[in-house]
Amino acid sequence: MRKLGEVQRFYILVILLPLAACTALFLLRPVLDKPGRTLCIFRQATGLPCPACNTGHGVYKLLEGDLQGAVYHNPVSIIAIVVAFLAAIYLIVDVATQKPNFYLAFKKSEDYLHRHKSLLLLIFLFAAMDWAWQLAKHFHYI
Amino acid sequence: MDSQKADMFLINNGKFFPEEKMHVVRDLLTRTEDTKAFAVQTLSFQDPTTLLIVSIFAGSFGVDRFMLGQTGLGLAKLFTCGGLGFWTIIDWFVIMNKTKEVNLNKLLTIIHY
Repeated sequence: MRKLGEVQRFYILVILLPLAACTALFLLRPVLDKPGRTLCIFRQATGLPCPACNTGHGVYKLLEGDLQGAVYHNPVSIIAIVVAFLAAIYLIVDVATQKPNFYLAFKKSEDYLHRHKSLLLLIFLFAAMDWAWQLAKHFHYI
Repeated sequence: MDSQKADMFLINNGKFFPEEKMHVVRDLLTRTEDTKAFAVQTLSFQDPTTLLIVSIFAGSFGVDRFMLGQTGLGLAKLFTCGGLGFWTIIDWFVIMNKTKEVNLNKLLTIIHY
C-alpha cells in the first residue's frame, strides 16, 4: 500500500478534526453532556481537566452569544471558533485553486514559531494559565 | 565513510531508522565523505520507545509532537484535548514510525548539507 504524503496527512487531519468536533458538539451532545462523560483521555485517566477541557461548553455559550460564559468555561473556545472559521475559508480556497495554501501557511507559521521562541513561550504560558483556571474551577476555588 | 564504519553506525543506531529504509541509509553512509562522517557519528536521535512512553502518558498534551519538532501539530493537539482523544490513541500506534522518519530526515539533512 502506498504511504500518504505529509501534505495529504495534513489535509486529512484538518478535515477529520473539525468533523469529529462537530459530531461531538452537536450529534453526541445528549450522550456527552452529562457529569462524568468526556472524550478527554487525560480526564478519564486522572479525573483532572486538561487545558482544553470544557471548550465544548464554551463553544455552546459562544453560539448563544454569551462571550463571558465562553471565557468562564474555557477561553480556548474563542480561539477554536476563530481557527475553525479560518480553516474553513482556507479549505474552500485550496479546493477552488487546487493549491496547498493552507499547508504552506501552517508550515510558515510553524517556522515563525521556531524562530521566535518567546512567542512560543507566551503560548505555553497561556496554556498553563488556562490549565490553572480549569483546575481552580474543578477544585471549586472559583 | 568506509563500509565497516557504516555497518558499525547501523549496529549502534539501527533502531532509530525505519527498517525498510535501512539499505538506503547504508548506501548513503558508505557514499558520505569522511569530512561529514564525524558529524554523522556524533548526531543524537530520538528514541522511538521513549516517544511511545511519552505519547502514552503525555500524548493528550501533544508533548510527543513537540519532541519531534512538530510545534504546530503539538499546539493543535494541546488545545483540542488530544484531538478529542482520537488523535492521542492513533498516535500511540504511529508515533514510533513517525520518530524513525524524523530521525531519517535529520540524518539526510546532515549528509546532504
